[in-house]
Amino acid sequence: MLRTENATIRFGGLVAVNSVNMHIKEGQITALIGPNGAGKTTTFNMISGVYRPTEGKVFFNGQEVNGIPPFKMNHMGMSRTYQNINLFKSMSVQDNVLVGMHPRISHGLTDCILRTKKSRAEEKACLEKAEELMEFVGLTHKRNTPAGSLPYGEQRLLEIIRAMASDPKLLLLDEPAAGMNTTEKVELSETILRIKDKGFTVLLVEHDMKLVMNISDYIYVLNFGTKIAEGLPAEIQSNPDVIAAYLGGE
Amino acid sequence: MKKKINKSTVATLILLVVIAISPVVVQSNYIYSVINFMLLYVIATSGLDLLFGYSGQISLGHAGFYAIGAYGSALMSLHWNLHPLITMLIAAIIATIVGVVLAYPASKLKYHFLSLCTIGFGEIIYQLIVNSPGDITSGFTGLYGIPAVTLFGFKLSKNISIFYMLLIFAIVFMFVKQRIVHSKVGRAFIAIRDNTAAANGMGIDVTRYRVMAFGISAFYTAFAGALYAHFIRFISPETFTQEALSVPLLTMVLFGGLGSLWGPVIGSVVVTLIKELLQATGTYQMIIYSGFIVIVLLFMPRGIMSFISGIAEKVKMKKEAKADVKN
Ligand SMILES: Nc1ncnc2c1ncn2[C@@H]1O[C@H](COP(=O)(O)OP(=O)(O)OP(=O)(O)O)[C@@H](O)[C@H]1O
Ligand SMILES: [Mg+2]
Repeated sequence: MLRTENATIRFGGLVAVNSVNMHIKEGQITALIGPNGAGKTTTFNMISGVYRPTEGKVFFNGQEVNGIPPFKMNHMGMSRTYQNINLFKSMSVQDNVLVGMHPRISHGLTDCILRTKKSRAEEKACLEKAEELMEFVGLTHKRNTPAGSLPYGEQRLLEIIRAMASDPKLLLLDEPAAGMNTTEKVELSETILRIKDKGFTVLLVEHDMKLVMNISDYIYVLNFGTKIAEGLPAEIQSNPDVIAAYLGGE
Repeated sequence: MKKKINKSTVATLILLVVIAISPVVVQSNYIYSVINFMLLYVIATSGLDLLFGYSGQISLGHAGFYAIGAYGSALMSLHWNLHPLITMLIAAIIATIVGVVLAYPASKLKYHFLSLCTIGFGEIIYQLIVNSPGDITSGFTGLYGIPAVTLFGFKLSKNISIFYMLLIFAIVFMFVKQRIVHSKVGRAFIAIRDNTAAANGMGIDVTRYRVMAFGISAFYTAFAGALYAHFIRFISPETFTQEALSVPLLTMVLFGGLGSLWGPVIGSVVVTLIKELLQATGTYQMIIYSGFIVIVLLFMPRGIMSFISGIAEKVKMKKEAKADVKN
């Protein structure tokens, strides 16, 4: 589904991502972990088109996607959430989800003004789908609440369903559990597993090791931009390099 | 949600009926001239609001679009003998194209630079009117004898008859604005305004929608300018400077409240009224007017609309608090 080939990102002298090779398989939950500043978010930004790799290549569905802007990556079937929540704060929960569907709506400005049959049918289908998504994470009762006034945990959930709204093949989640309490985290694990059951492929960045080890099929570990390990959760847990990186990093 | 819409629809209908039959009661030509200006500004500022209030792009040069509409329609109807309604439409389309061409580079600019860029645009159009190629705009002399709109053999030259035409146009433009706002396009505008990076990430072609907002906004404002030309029937450059028009248009939107249907209406009505009432104060007119604007913007930074809804909310909360105490 997604492959990086010696992908490198440099910010001036700093090598944030250093010649990383990754392969994300369809239908799996792949986790990307590493200490603070390891380059996880930068990797996300590179994959989703925010940054172009300084060196190396990114392939999505077999196609090279270097330098393709984020909105086009979304059209191609990739959507994401943000570590430092990036919701449309003044818009309602429902409208945030509807914006997420934007690339799947084919009618244009004239249809909107004339309210053509096509636009009405598409809007109706979108509202039904928004309903389903809000129900999926239990936000139905908050549909009219401005996103900016939701509690933290619910904002994270809204980010997830907004990203799911475009029916992406690959869903990138950047620290979805950050700021959540233990109960919320347990629920979130279940939600991510249910997302997988729906057929989405997930790439997950997360600091909560319990959550990562419980739900991931495969794990990549970054430290100072370099991949130091990859493998199944059990392998990663007992990998001496990983343990050293986390102990040394803290 | 449904109930709220019905309530405001009823209120709107009542308001419209009152406005529409008011000429039977009020017969003053002067009053209708003032109201006609308000209606022109409602159209122009509704367009500016789509750009600034919804898509988050400032324009300090909207006088330029107003001028393209006014001069474009005036010249075409004078020289080609076309029906004013057709020349208005063509002029507004030309302004839309100009808006789109301007927006392609401008939409990439950050806020402050966009302000400067749009001021520059307004100035260029102003200079073009003053010193036009072949002097087709007649410089400071202006254009005379612009034809009035004729409908079904009936010439709209009296303020009251023009009032009805402008009212219909204002309603149509507001209606279309509402449709745009509550659609995929409107959501894209607001998303870009709220968080550009996320809008991009969610699959919105930010440049395309920013350009679209400029185009729509240019159409609105230019159409208002064209209506102005066939209402006053004499146009000259002084009307189209940044101080005389671009800044007041922006003031009206800020004053009424950004990103709402009625904000631009309230802004247009109040600012026009204040200007008219201050005519009597003569020399001090501009000082009082400017001071007033500054004070109001300081105390109601988000416009009259949100000031009113803020009060309404407080009243509601007090009522609820009282109800709680009683229980
Ligand atoms: N736009 C940028 N310009 C310069 N340096 C950057 C930029 N973005 C990230 N960096 C640097 O790149 C390195 C990797 O940052 P990144 O945000 O990818 O880490 P991370 O693994 O996501 O960390 P965290 O767990 O704290 O979120 C850091 O040293 C950071 O300071
Ligand atoms: Mg990060």
